[in-house]
Amino acid sequence: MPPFRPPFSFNTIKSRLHIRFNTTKSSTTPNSTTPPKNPIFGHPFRTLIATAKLVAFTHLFIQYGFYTSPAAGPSMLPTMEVLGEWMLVSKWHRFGRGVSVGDVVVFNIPINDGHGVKRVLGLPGDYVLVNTPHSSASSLEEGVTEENRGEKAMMQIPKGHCWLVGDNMEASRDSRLYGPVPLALIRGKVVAKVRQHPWEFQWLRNPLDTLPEYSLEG
Amino acid sequence: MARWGSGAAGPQARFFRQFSHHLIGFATWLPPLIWFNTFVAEATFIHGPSMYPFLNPHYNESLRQDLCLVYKLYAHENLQRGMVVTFRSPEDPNQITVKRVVGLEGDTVRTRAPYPFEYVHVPSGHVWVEGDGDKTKDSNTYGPISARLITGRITHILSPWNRAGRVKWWEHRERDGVRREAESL
Repeated sequence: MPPFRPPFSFNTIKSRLHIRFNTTKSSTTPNSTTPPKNPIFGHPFRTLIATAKLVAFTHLFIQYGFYTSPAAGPSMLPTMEVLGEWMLVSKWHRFGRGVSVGDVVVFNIPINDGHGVKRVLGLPGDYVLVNTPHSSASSLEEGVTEENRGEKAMMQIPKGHCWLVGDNMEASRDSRLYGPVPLALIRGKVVAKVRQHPWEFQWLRNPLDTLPEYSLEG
Repeated sequence: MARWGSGAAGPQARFFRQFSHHLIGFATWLPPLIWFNTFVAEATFIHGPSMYPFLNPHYNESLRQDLCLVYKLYAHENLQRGMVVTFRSPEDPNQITVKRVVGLEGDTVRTRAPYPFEYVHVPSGHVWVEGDGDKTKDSNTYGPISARLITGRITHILSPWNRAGRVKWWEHRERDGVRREAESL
């Protein structure tokens, strides 16, 4: 009985990825007087294709899996430091998929080309305070009338949008400035904080998850 | 060391080994293909009558849909009035919509039926999009959209053959009731 051989081997994968580190092939060729080619520089076209494949795979992983990115700015104090902290972002939650109130998300700022990190305070259908609590200043320009000016003004989040506010409300430009943000602009959800040392890794939990359950009735 | 497919095993095992060899070979080409379709260009069918008569002019006569080329690289930069763009609907992030850019940031646009105000000032970083046809749900329903929502531009019509070719958006007649930012300054 022949020995068991799996339907594919690592050599198969390596050869299909055009990576050849073993030079045993050259010894099997009849003309063994020619020196074996350099596995990388002897095949420039093959190396180029393999590199392009690897770059495409890595880019897809960054876009659809996870990526890390530095967080800067005072708007998310005390959750995120002003400088020196990185965040692990889950791209599965892109376009607001599976995002709930209390999560911290990375999103494209709708009025310029930057990106921001803020906390979700409202999802479609929710009622939110339009302005900063304990202040009379109104920042929403469009649609501001005498009734919805001031700290008690509320609005209902329209379909497909969310309300994003930074934890440090005094130093944050967020939905209070540019209104509800389309869920399609959400890049991903911040799942962890990463610092210089591995033991400083910290999962970012939704603070509303640990609240005791209560009902709105009665 | 024996090479793959040349072992002492029977022809069946050799067939499966060679088959998996080629299968993995094809699979390594999937990431570059998906990457190209997601970030550079993609051919896509147009559903619905919102861009009638520019796209799907026979939507009520046949089931045939137009096949278009969507160019996705740097899609939301350097937008011009008249361009046909694809964007994620602000009402449903999973739906991708095709409309024409009517007003850029700073423009003042005279709105159409469902919009509550007669004139609208397009805020910074936003655009006003409308469909060419009557049956369209566009900025007149959900207001100006953020340019960041735009995912691509329709650059070519690929099918049907009689209308195939480059989309000449600059030859499209401009809509009345758009006061450009430069004129208002």
